[in-house]
Amino acid sequence: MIEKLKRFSTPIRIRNYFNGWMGISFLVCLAVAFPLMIIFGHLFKTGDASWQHITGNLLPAYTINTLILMGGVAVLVTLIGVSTAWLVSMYKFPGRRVFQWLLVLPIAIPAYILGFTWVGMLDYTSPAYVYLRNNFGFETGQFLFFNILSMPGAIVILSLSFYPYVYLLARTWFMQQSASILEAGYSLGHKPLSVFFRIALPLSRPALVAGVSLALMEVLNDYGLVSYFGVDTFTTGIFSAWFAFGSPVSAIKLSGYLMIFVLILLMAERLHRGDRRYDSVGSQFRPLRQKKLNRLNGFLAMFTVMIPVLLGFILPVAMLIYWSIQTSHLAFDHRFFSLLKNSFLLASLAAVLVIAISVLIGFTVRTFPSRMARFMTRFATIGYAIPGAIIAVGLLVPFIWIDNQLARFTGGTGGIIITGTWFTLVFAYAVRFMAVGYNSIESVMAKTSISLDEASRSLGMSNRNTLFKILIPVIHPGILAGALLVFIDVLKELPLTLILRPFNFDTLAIRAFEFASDERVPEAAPASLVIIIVGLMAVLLLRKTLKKQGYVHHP
Amino acid sequence: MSIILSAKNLTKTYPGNKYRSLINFNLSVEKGQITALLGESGCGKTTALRIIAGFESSEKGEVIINNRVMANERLFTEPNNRGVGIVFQDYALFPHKTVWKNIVFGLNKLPKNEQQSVAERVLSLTGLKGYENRYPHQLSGGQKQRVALARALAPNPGVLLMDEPFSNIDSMKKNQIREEIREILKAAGTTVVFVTHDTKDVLAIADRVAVMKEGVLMQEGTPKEIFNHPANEYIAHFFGKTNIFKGDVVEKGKVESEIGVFNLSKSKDLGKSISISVRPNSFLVHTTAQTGTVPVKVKKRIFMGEYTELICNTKSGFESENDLLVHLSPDFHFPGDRLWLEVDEKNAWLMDNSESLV
Repeated sequence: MIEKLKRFSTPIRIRNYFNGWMGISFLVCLAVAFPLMIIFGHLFKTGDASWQHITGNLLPAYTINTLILMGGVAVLVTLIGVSTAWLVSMYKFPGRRVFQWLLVLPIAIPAYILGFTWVGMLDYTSPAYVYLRNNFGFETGQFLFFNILSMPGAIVILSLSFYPYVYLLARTWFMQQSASILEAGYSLGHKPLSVFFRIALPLSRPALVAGVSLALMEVLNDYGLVSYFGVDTFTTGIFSAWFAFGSPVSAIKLSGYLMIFVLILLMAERLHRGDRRYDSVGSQFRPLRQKKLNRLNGFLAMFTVMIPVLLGFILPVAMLIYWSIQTSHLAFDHRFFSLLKNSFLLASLAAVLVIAISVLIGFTVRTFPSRMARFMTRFATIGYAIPGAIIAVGLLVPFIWIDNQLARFTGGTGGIIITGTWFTLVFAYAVRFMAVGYNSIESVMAKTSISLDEASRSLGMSNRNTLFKILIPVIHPGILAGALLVFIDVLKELPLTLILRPFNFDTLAIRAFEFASDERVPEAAPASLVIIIVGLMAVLLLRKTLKKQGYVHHP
Repeated sequence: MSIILSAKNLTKTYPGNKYRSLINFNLSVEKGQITALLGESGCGKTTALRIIAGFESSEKGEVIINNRVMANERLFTEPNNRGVGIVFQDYALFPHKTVWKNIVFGLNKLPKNEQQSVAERVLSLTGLKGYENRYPHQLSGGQKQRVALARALAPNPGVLLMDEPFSNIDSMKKNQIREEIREILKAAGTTVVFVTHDTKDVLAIADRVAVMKEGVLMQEGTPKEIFNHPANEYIAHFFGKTNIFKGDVVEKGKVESEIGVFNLSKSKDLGKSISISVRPNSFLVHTTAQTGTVPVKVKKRIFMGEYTELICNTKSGFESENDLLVHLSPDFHFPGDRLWLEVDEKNAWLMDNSESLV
């Protein structure tokens, strides 16, 4: 007698698609992609009078400024990133080992902090300017040397902030090139510079494109620095449309334009990358051996790699420490600790949410692999490319609408029930930083043999028990790392927090930015230092992963 | 004997693949038997195993375990409800659990005291007493394998599946470990299906073997049957070195082959075109010409340890790649010597080319 066991069976055709895991994951992905869909939905709506004004008078300037900024940063980060990566990968010179890690550090300083620190270091009352003026009668107007509050100033600061993306990817790439490729170049009679331009640079193009596009996405995301420096870009335009013109429609339409721009950038990078992977190492791999430079060239090389480290990290951090000590009697009051509490709590909540969703989606894709499931994850992780301001606008508009409906229903006056709450903020962080968490979860899951899950299943465990009893305990180091990365990103985040924060609610980043905007730069230092110190943990983590696997996932 | 596992007409195409990985696969396994699925990588043997376990679905066919339909065209039973145990190629021991915790993991539906007694029984069966509190990373490869086996055996599965069980074992220890595993499996009375690409595994521990190629099951039988009577040239070659030559049945019991004429009475039941397989150690060697023998000249002599391999030219200008291999022990023949080989009908195996799958 053959028995049919209907009780434990599911219809086979739908098993991989219509199950609880796929269902919940799908809903979560939908929620994460929701603000972006709102923006798209508004793209073709008619604008109001402010929109007329913005398109007529401001949009051209926004566009041109944004393009100049991107162009300038692209050139400068390539120059700094590739040249330093080449030097530390190819040559032995004094301090090479230290510098190859120091070169990453500027990534720990948010651009707006680097920006106002430099302004504070160069303005009329800065210690350096005072010293030069008093002792040597050196006068160059309001700022030492040149007017930093300008487009070129913004380009330099953004580049100092974001060149590590290019540096990291280019360096990883150079390290993975077999020495024989470059030796082939030398043996065919090329000089080092010629090998650099004709072999190394073309070879490293995929890494370069990836690094530069990461840097450019950060540029588009930046609000703090460009607004501080008075450069009107798309992102500042979104802010002024909303807050100065009071026109949410204009803000959302501007966001839509910017998002299309970002998506084109993203697709161009994807297309260019194709199926290439940056971590492929052939079987005949022979690592590069650095060439020893003579004394003069060694010092030149050291000097070259020292410049970005000095300007992008050491000087500003030293300055911030100096200011922190100076203002310590003012800074570390009870308000500072409430800032600390707010920031850490928000960042922790966001990290927990992002990691919970990432584990859920990661496990679903692992257990029910299909093209649809993979597409779903792409959808859920697109936020990392989308500027925070766009995400904020895309969330705020529908939430305000919901609040108004709720208010009408309860008879109140346009209340703030969900808008301007922690919920909104954490939700927005989850959208923006989902990729950061998901990539770490995905990479650690990929390294965990699927046979562990299958063994658990064959021993009678359900999928849920398999996830909680086997997979999560096994991958928990990766979970912690991912959570830490999200935590740090949230702590640094500015534009999204500025738009969505609850009334009278401050974080470390906001306090630093506001002090700086009020021309009280020294008082911004303690909060900035906390952000940088926490950010340095990310760099340490990165270093560990880099050492272990030889490549980066998300810096 | 009762059938514990049967697979009927299993067919599987992986998404995105042009070719079917498994085509109308049929297998019946009797209680207590050890069955090997043998084939090269990509032959579909692992796919068959995974469909039986419930890690893949098949688009056609049926899996029946212990008289229960586990999967067919419409229904699919999740792996945790199939009562199938698995030993993975990488053992898949839970790295965060001790040996003991690994073993009781599948026993959570039993009361505590029963868990205890079952776990102790499999521990002593697999010779792992004293290792209860070790973590997987503190074990040797062979010990890991025995833990994986103990863990899979503990819930007393209807069928135990093993994926390439010996591929991660040092070749020095393979023989000993094969013997140990067979003893454990037989002592537990478990029904086993294992996948392998190594005929030595099959000959050492399998009761029955199914040979697969390109998704198709080509031949099924006891290892001895298949070794001695391979269904086609592919299988004949798979089970070690052999000499294969094509021939035509010219009249009843007489075969005209590439290297000579043989009297082979078995040929009368076959079609006109046949292949003859003779294992290198199955020739009768003569040093003088006799009727029904093939004259050859020794070309090369290779000392192989337990025997000596002679590579012999045939007079008829047999292609060099088809030189005859003769294994002798002991032997006194050297390059240049002339020999006359007789094919002993008992030890020759005839294959009908018209039925051959390759």
